[in-house]
Amino acid sequence: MNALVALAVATLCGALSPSASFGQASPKLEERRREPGIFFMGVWPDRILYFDEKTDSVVGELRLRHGVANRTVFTPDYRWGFLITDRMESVEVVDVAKRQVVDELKLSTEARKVRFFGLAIEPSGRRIYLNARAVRLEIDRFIDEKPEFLIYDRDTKATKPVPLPKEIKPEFWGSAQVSPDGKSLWFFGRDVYVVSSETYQIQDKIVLSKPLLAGYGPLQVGPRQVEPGVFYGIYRTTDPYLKKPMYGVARLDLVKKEVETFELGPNARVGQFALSPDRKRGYGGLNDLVVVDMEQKKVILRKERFEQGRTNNSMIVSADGKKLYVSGVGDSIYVYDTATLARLKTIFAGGDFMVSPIRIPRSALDPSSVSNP
Amino acid sequence: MRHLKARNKKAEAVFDWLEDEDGDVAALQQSPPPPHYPAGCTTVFSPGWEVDSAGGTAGLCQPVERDLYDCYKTCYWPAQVPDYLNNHPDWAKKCASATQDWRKIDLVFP
Repeated sequence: MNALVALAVATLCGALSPSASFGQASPKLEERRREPGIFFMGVWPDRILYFDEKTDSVVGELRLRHGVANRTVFTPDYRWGFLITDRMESVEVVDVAKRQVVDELKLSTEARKVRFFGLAIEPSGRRIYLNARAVRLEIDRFIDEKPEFLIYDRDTKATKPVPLPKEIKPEFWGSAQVSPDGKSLWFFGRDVYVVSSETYQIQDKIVLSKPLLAGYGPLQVGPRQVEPGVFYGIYRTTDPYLKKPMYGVARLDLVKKEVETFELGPNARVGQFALSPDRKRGYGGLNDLVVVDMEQKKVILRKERFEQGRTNNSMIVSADGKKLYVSGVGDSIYVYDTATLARLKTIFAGGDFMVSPIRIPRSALDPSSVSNP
Repeated sequence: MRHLKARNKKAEAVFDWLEDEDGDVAALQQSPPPPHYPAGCTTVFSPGWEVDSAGGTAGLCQPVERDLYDCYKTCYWPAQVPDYLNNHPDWAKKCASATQDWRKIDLVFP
């Protein structure tokens, strides 16, 4: 309870104090962030495209070995990418700089199909955590086995189950991430659990499911990692007096174990969140779109019915902060002016998206850059 | 909690919240139940049939072909498309952009 109170107090302090720092990063990260990046994006059926933010054009391509990718994660230096492909039965390891697949793993046999629903990578890239679900093919029926959380060692090619604590269930879709130092696993559910990567015991728990103050609803956050260990997202909670859902911006720093939030007002139809490289503007979308001044902690521009029907699922702010790239569904990238939210242009991506664009630093394309696996 | 009575607005709010947590009886117009649509891709034979998460069509892609590969690849949405994971992995191999190249999609005979 003390921890909860401390969290609530820290949260409110973050909300009320205009001088509170909301996301400061190291100078090296700052420098990398302000340089125009490359969008790593997959289009149907097996192509990975490199889209240059400087020229708004595709500058490279690689082909996967086993078709459509479902999930993608990178090592912290973005030098190596790991993609679930092959109808969810394989993981392909991609050398981002050389633009080729260099390794793959598959656990399925003729009599037993093992499909992967999520993966997490150790910073070294040598060990892979997998949310796996197996189906045994019997002569007259299928046997659906329980979901498992596995660890695969790329050196020994050995797989073993991870004994997770009872609080964490190896659910259908993966929710695990490895901390930047590789010492912990983070599991995102209603709360965030910090688990030791050696003993697999819970080290810490960040409570989001309990109300910040009596009467309020739980903090429902959909966080996305912006820099190693730091997540941003739109949160929702229920105001007990107004009886209305409220929304705001949450920042989770899992390295420092800090949660900061600030409220923006009654609910808006936004779910995705993107942050400008200078950390001064936030963008919430996409049914409506709100532009948030992250220093003043308020909405400065709002456009209702920004997208209608099914919305896109990726928003990336350009390095100079002047353009907003919206994409992820269908075959187009829409470029908007961040000052007016007017559409500047529509770019054909080359095919329907299967991997939503992920912004990677230009240094990841240099073969001489840091290389581990 | 049966022995406690709320004496101010804040305490009433706490009671309300606890009742919500237990899933107390609510009027239908307050929180309508989610729509019940059949799970799985091929439980009904109705080509082109698709609903959004609210049971309507307002949340669907426009044009509807934009959504084709999400229905097909991940195979969790109740739309009438072939099964990618098991039976028809090459159904749309020649069609990179469904809105533009849909004529290249193969026919499937179940």
